[in-house]
Amino acid sequence: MILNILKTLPWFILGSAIFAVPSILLIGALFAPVDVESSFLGTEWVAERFMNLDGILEDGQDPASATADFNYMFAWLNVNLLISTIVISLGWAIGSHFLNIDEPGKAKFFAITWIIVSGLLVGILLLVNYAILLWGDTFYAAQDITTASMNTMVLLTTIYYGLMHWLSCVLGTARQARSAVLFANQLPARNYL
Amino acid sequence: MTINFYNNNIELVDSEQFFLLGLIFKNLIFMRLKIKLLFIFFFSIFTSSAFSVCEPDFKMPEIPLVSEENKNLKNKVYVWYDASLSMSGFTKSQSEGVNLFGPLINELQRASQSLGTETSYNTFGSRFETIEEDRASLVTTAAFYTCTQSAQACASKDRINGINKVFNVAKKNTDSTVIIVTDLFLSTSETLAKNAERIKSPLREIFNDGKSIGVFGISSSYNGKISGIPTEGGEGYSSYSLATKRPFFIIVIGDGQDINFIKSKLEDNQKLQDSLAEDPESYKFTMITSNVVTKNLNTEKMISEKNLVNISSQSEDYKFKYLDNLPVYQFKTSEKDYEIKLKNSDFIVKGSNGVEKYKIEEHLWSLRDPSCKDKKKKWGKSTRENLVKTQISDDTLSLIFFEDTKLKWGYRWFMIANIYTEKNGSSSQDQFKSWDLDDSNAAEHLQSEPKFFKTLNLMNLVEMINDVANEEFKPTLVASIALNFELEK
Repeated sequence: MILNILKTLPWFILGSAIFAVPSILLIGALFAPVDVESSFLGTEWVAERFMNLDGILEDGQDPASATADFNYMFAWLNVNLLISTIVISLGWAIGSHFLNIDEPGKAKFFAITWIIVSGLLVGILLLVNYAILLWGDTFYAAQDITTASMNTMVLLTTIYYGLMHWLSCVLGTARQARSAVLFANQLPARNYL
Repeated sequence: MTINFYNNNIELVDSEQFFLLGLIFKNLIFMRLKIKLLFIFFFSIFTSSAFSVCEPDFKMPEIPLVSEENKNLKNKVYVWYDASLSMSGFTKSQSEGVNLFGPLINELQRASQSLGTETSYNTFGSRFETIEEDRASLVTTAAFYTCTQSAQACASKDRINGINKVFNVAKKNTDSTVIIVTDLFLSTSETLAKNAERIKSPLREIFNDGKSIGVFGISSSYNGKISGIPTEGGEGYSSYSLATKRPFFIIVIGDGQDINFIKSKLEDNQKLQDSLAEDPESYKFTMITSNVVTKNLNTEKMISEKNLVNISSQSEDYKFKYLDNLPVYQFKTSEKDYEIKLKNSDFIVKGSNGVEKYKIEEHLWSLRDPSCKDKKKKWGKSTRENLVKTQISDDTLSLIFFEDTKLKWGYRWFMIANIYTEKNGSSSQDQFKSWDLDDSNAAEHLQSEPKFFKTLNLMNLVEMINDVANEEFKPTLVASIALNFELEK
């Protein structure tokens, strides 16, 4: 069992990395000071797309300083979303090896379980988003975003980390449980599993 | 050469040793002084950084300086009696109604003597002259109003009130209080064009000097002939002698407190009180002024922590201090709006029409570091507007900050509000309308043979005074208030 899990993990890591690596690079760039240019990813688009510059200027605040605060908040949002996604996806990837699949076709029944786990992840992603952007008082930069931009940000991050979860599940799920994951049964059989 | 120290006692050996010992002591004292200075230096650096003032660079409001005016200083009082013949009707007994002219004029004479160092008595109307005190004492008798000229000449002089001449005297004696007793029966020609300007011009200067005008109207029994009533079609003038009641007026030009002094004296009169109990309409009063504000609340530091009503002074980080003359409320809160209540009686001329509208000059700054520790974060001047709403009641002025503005939490905010008057109130002058007789209605009023005879062009004059007061109105700074607060979610 342990061997099987260890054999699956590289595939899980591969599936996660496709989304996690850009996310980690973005987080790193966002944590860097505003005047430091990132070698991999530019961060100007974050403030340009989501930050309410008019509100900043109306309060007499320096846009550069406000951008730094906004980037800091967005970085922590992504850290939380990334960790949540990795924990749930890894949990599924490992847990799929323990599913009681003792006859052909039974894996399809566990699709419901996968949907529940995925739904739970989406719920957690939404919760993390709104806790940081709306309900919490940790980041005052959360006020520098309009309601429309906030909803867009929530939607985009949920889709992004949701896709990361799906891809890591497609590649990282135990072979016998692949039918439980959407489209995972379309993959060619891997003899080394 | 030895120096022995035994239990803090020094044994001196010779004079050289004594000199050396002195040198050591001197060095020790200098060292101690240096240590002390170093300690003070580091302590001052520490305290200045740890307890530095957390507020933006702002321009202090231009708060007026404390007035050197001596409130106990008394000035001359000029009393002007309308000597027109029709005034004699107030002095004669009448079976119907109560005569208030006699008792109130006597009361007024007493009050005027208490008001100033010296009282000068004068007449206007038919005769424009200064009179002796003996003659002034006859003002409540018919003899005072006797016209020695021909009946026609007397009637002609009676038609002109000539109050503008008294206003001219008042404008020249700005330190004095001027009291006018008259029936205010102004001919229409006196209230039109150039003649109106003759009234308005001195009024402008009077209001410019910060004086107020109090108009007292008292309805009294009357037994005489009212002349100068315009006839129908404007062909001439007629007279009327069937009236048993008529108002007379006391106009006081001076400081608000002097007008209030006269008011309290008149209102305390028992005869007036009895008359008021019977007919509340028998006495009317209005005070008209270009500036109803008696003082700036900052000048005498009259704003205290009690004025901020919805933030407890016991709450965390609450502080109240004066920065020169600017009161600063410092607090930490999650409340979204704040109310400051000011008592009208603290700054509005008592008995005046008050203030109808205020203008608030607002300055707001924000800082994205409520603790003020991050030197990289700077105060920024906000462009937000309409931050303060005013609610005016008879007793208070409420300033509600940020009711319609959502400020961001996690910030420190600094606000300065300069409260100016924008428009004076004008409600109490309307009470005189019921005594007003228009030129066009005069003939009709005469034909109805009224017992109570109204005053010709009364509202023309009252409105003229009010208009001039409004023309001369200048916004006055009532108070400047600063809020320095950390807004929590």
